[in-house]
Amino acid sequence: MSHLLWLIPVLPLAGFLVNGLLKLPKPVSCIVGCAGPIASFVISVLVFLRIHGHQDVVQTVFSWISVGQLNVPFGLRVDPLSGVMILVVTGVGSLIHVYSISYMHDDEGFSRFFAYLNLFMFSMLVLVLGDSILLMFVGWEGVGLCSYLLIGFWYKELKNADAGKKAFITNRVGDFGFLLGVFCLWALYKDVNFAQMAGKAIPHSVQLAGHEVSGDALAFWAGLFLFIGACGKSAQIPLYVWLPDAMAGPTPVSALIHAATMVTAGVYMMARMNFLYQGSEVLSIVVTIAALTAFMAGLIAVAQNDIKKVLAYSTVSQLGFMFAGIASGDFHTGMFHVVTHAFFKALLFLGAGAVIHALHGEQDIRKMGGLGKKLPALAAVFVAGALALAGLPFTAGFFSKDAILVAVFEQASVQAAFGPAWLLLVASAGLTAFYTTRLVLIVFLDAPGAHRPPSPEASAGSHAAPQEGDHGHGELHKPGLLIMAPLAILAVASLFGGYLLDRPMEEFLKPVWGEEKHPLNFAAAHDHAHALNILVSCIVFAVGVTAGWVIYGRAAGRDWVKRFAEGGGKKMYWLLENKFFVDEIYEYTIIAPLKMGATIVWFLVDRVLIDTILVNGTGWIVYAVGGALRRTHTGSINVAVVSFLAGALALLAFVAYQFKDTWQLPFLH
Amino acid sequence: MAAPLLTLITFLPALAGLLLSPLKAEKGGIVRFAALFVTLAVLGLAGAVWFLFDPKGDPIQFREDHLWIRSLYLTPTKGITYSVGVDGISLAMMVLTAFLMPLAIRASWHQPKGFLITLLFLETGMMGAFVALDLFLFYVFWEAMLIPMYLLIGIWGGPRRIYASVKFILYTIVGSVLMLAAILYAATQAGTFDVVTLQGQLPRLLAGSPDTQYWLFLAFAVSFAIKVPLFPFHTWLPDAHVEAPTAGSVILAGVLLKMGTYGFLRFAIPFFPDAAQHFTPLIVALSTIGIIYGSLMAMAQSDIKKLVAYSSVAHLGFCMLGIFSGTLQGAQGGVLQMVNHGLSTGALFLLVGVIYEKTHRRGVDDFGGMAKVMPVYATLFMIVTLSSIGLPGLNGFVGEFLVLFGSFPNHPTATAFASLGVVLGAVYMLKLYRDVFFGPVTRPEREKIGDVEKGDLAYLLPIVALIILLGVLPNLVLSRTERSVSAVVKNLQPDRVSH
Repeated sequence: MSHLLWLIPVLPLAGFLVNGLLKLPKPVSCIVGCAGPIASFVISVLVFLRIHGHQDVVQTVFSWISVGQLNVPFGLRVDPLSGVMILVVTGVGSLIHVYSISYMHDDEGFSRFFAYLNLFMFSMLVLVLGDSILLMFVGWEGVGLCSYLLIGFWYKELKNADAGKKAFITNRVGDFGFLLGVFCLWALYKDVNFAQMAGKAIPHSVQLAGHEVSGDALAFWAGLFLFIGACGKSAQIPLYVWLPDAMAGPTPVSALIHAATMVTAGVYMMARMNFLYQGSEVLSIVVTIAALTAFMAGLIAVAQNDIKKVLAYSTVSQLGFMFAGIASGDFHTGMFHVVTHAFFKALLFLGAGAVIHALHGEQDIRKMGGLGKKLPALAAVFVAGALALAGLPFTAGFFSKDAILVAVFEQASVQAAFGPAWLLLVASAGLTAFYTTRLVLIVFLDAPGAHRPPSPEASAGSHAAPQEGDHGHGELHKPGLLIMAPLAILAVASLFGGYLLDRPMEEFLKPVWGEEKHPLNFAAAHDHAHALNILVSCIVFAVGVTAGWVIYGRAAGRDWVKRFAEGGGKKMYWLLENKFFVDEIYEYTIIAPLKMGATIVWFLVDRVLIDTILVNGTGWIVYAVGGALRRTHTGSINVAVVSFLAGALALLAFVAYQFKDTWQLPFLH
Repeated sequence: MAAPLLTLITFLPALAGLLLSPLKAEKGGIVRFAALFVTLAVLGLAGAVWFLFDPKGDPIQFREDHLWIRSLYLTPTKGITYSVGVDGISLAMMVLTAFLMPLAIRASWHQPKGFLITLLFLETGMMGAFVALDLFLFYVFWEAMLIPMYLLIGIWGGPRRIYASVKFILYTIVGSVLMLAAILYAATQAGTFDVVTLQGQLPRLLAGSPDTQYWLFLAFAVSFAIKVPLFPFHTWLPDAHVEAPTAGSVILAGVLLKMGTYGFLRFAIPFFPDAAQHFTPLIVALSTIGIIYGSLMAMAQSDIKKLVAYSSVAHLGFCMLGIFSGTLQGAQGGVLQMVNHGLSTGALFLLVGVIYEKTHRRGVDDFGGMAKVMPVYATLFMIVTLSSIGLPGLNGFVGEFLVLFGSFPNHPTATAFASLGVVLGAVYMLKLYRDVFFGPVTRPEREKIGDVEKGDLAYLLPIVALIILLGVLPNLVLSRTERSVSAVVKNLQPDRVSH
């Protein structure tokens, strides 16, 4: 089986090349586009069955970079961790490709869309399968490129192109951390291959710039730098700002790249680097950032009116949960949430896409409403995804979120940072239930227009202009089979996937990180913690849903709700609707000063100081001196004779002065 | 060695130039095809040397030695010699030059006879400088190559061509004169102009007099630093690039700048290793400043060519950082980055040339929404942009990564700052791309300018293909340069054995 491994990434690459280089008719184009990912999925399943006996499947395709000790082949490795990921990537990816056939059917960039989507699959699979952190970085940057290209897919609108650019550059800030992390890893392990690094112990001390540096300190920095990289790719504070803007891309892209797969790459990377993070002090930082992100993004999601923005902030929030799971040291909990989230968030995005499609490009939820009666099948699958997201007991989201809460809760007794983080995560879980309920109620249950903003000012700042397709109020555009079939499959996975995968996945992934080290009385305490957290999960779910239902359903329009909305709620809503003004803060503290500074430095330092004063100034001085001396060359014999005599006398005087002690001139002897 | 391959490679273009000169100006067609044919023949020969070069064989291969100017003072060669030969580094530079020349000729298809002949003479100068193994011979080629470039900018350049060409030649000559003095001193001390002998003898001769080493090193280093250009010796570059015709910019960025880094690798470091170590912190600092400063300056530009020129300052900063990193990985990355920069920046200038020929504009504001009008052009520009910002899978990444990777162990702080260049590079290049290609078409008259023509693809596709190839198989270059580079790097390591 190992000799087929290279086909998993290369098949979609072939699809990219064919669709990218040839102008094919639409039917052929979509067959080419979908064939690659589906074939990769089939091979992935075959490979996956092979590794069930804890036998990693490896293949070295060719030698990529080799300089001295540094030797990086293009090597692929399937172990349980990457095995789970390739199934998710190719499985969910294939469904989204099929969905896109119908969704993008009328777009003039149809082939280009499939080409980019295929290139994304290739990059993502290289990221997952790469056997060294450098090869992972190839995929890491590749998915970033595809994200950039697909966010700006409708490039004729500058807004979309800008969103793509923002995503790329924000990710580059993360990559800065990633690269430094790789350099630290090399200093520690003298290797970049995952399996090799995992097999080595962190040395006591390391030589760096001629100084002895403690290995543990360097490991801390390596972990922190890599986490910065993860913050970029997986949208954590302070680098999350690109993900909501990324919704400018077509909805299948939001589902595949910005929800199910690419944005979880940071979580996957840290799970891959588990040997570095086990027991690391970085994890306290990670859990704090993760919990803050989960909470803050959950809050913002409450006040968004663009259906995709709600889901985008929800994704940021859920990614926070995944990082919290990784930070707890029970790495499987983070990965478990990656998988379940891929199911239900892909479902929600694709469902949202179907809604947008049905309404001819409308994305503002305030202009929706009552769709449940008109599109019952779509409403049913969307609600299935929403319930899984909100954490209805026994749905996929419930299991994975609960596992994270348990893990963080248990860690709270060991490390101080985990206590507050746990509280924030519990609150975020409640918020999740609340905003999900709000979304479903407004979109599907209410009468149309029930949530129209009362005054124009209230909607200022959230111009959710329609971006997709043409905008018009004709007939509802009912989703066809190619759209509903993937949704149905994902709905089943969202409802039952958690229950089915909970134990098996934990067992299956164990060889990746080995047995976690737990205290002796662990089992009993674990049961207590588990019971407590299940209870807490159920309570926050109930509270969140009830609150959402009361405010946006049952009591909507009642006086006390109105009073709240006009009074204390208004300021809070304003702050949330404007996303705490983080974009504006970045604009005025970083971006604008950088631009201004560059221009000022260019003028003052480059033009004036270096070029005019130093470089041309030197030229002018030479020119001026030469010009002045030129005046002495008059061409008159008289002047020449006089200056000759003066010169000769001066020379004689100089020689005489030199030998004044002896008064014996050297040439007289 | 049977055929004097390197001599052929060096002098074929000049010979062709001489033979073509008497032709009447109306015979432009013949000159064009002859020039293309000759440069392609040179590429073929250089390719042959590339494949015949044995990475595990002698350090210097294809060597030719002939006595040129007799002088009894000069032992052991009895005079100044015509000696040429290639090691891995000069091989890479030679092939890069040979590769870029036909493209430059093809991009100058509309130019008059004199222009093409000047390009041919330029090729001889560059090739000679890369293969020369006699310091005197090197200096002759080094100076000879300035004249054609001076003419290219001064005669066929833009409106401020005279200012730019005079600035270019004066600035370079200031450095050259310093180097000449140092060459004469060093050669009389060692009694030879032979580069290999000098590399062996000078460190030993000067081991006891560090001050002499420092001054000689500085004389060489200033000359090369101007050429690189290392911050703050860079201000001639934007002027020269903006005024130079397309082919001039391509060769200037693609090859001439590498003369500077090549000079450090071939002469300054091996001749004066103690001084090189002494000044390493300074050069590392200037390189790092150059990376960040060049990127910031690129951000502030509204002229596409100027932006690319400042990006060269940043890219060459990476090369210099790698060369002075003191590790094999860093120096290999620096050499690879020399090749990469030649390809990606050469390609950028070729691409800018395409729209400049169509519109006679090269301001960022003069364009907008071009992706819709010129989809193929936009795609090629995207690939080159990505190469320039170091996207893995394309050539730029490997060089940039190796440089940073290799400099981290010895200069972690500088590396951290230099890594910011990776972020800033994306900022200015993607901003450029956005402004030129995305959004609605800003000027109606640009609607009809049409996509790249087949004639343009003839020189754009090969370079893009090589950009992709070297991203996937960088070992093609790295394996050939490793031995020569590791010999240079040994000079910079603290435990260097003094003879």
